[in-house]
Amino acid sequence: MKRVLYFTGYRMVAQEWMGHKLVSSVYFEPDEQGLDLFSAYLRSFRNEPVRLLVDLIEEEFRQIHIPLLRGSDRQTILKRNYAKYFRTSEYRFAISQSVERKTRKEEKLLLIGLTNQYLLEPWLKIVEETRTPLSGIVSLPLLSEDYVKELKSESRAIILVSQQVPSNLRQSVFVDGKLVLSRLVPIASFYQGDYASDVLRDIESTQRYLISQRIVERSETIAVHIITNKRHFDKLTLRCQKESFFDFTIHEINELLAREKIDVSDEQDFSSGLYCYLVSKKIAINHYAQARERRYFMHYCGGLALRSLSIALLALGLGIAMTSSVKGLLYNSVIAETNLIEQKYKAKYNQLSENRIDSTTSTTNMQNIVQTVETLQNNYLRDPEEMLAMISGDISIFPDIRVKKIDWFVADFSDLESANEVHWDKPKKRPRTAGKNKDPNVPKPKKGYFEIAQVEGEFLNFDGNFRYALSAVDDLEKTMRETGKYFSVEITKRPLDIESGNRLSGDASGTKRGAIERAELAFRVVREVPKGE
Amino acid sequence: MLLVSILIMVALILAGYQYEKVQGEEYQKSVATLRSTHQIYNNMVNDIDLLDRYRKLYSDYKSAGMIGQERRLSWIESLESTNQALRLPTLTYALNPQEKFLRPGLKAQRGVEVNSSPMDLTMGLLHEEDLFALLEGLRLSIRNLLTVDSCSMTRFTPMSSSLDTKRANLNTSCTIRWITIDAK
Repeated sequence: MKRVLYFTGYRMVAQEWMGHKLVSSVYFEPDEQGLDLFSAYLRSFRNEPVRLLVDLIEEEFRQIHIPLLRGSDRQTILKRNYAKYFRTSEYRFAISQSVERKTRKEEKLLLIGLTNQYLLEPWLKIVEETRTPLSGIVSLPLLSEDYVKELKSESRAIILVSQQVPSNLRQSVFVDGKLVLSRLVPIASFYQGDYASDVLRDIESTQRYLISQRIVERSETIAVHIITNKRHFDKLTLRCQKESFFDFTIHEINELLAREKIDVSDEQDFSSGLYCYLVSKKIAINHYAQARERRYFMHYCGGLALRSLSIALLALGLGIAMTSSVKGLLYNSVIAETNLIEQKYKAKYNQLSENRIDSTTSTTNMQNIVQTVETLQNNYLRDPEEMLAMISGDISIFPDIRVKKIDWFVADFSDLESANEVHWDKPKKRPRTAGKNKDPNVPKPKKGYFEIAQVEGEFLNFDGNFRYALSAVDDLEKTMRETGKYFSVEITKRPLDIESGNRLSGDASGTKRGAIERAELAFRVVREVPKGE
Repeated sequence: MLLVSILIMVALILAGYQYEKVQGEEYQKSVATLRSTHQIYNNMVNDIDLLDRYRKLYSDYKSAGMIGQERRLSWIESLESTNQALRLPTLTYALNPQEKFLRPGLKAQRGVEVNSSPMDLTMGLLHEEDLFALLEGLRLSIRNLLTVDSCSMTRFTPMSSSLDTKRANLNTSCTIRWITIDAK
């Protein structure tokens, strides 16, 4: 519900608007009884804000130019102009209309002010006494500036003519959509007389003033919008048709209200309803009200802000609590689902446990034992057959050679010479054999898992041809090496030791010819046990 | 009013937070329980899978004597039965005390102990093939883990003469190991 006080200069009208609808309209006369009633009225809706729309003869309009300034400099200039034009009034207002670039930037201002503030005093006193939140005192001509924007006109200058009370005719002049001046002139012929002629006469008078003030050019067509009632509409229309100098548009107030969807129950003779509706639609508007007059409104705004803040805080608290509650409920539902899944797992577990064959050995131990057996079978079960077959195959190429002794053993080092030297646990002192063998073809000893065979043999039916025997031994060694089956092949004994570092002796006389000579040989082969065989 | 609103807001937030916290803790507990149940169930399923996979092999190995106590008598009986078929001129054995079976790269699995008993064999062979036949015979007669550590074969008949079919031509001594596996 929006409450509007409308002051005509004589009586006070209090209107209540709900949206587009005028709910009530109460008149208060400026006598003692009227003021008391007004006071009672205001007290009845204490703490609800009102706005005051004033439509007074004693309102002056001045268009001035000031240098384009900001802040305190501008305020100083404004104060000086207020003092110049509205010396006795506290109710004055300046509105910036445009910025003009001449030799320097200038701001075009419209100064408006109430020249007789005492008219308002008794009413404002009651407003003050009742602590009514007054949001603002609004000038009707300045308010109509907004409405003029809706009147589509090709002319630069518009005169808006309206009548809010029977005795006065309001003419507001707008140039380029900006209010320039407004006049409230007495008119006596509203109920009796040639109203149309009086209106036109006043309009022409205004036109003359505008031309004299060079606000409009003499040749310029002025658009005139007259808001009138049903009674005067036809006469005014007829009368205006005869005038060609103005571009007249006559608006019937009730049609205009209907067009604007403003719902007023009774038929209207005046435009006050329109302006009261316009002021009720404004969110924040104030032209004249001083800070002290608006303080209860500020209190009201503060209270409203605090209430809003309280509601916001409550909503926030409720929101957070709701969020937490929803999270909690979600947790709850997840817990229920989790418990259900857990039950299912337990049921399945019990079912599996019943079907499981009981065993004294754990599954892991079984797995470990089986894997150990597989490892042993694949890697560590050895016998001499494979290696001896390989050696036998290599020797069979040399039919003169016969094997008389074989020592085969598995070892953890490639250079061990007998099974007795093998110590599967880490030996405290490993026998040093490195450097013993100077054969560059024999690889360096290494740790690992080896099969070693030491073979002794001799040449069958040897005829003393050591050159042949030595050559055959060399060939045997070469053949075995070239097969690539062995880690190392080493001849440990040759039929005749012809090494430079050793002593060599024999009988070269020939007297022993015919005696049996032997050509013996020995070799050592090492094979790395293949993994995962 | 503002103060009351603030108090109500704080109360609502605290109540909501407390409720959420309690439910959150319950949720964490519930999830932890579910996780552990799932783990137990998973272990059980894995156990059953492993059991299915290894139980038969384990039973086979155990019944064959690879796992558990040594079966020395069975080994000797196997040796004798093998020799009954081979009829080696001489065959003596000496079974030594059990010891840990150690080989390069062999790491016993957790909870498993690998032991072996060395057996010294001394044989008189007609031909070197007899040795391989004896080892093969042992493997066939008893499904035990058997490995040869060393073998030494010496021909004592002259190289120029051919092998005598009525008596031993080769002196052979071998060390073999009977491997057994124990669960610790």
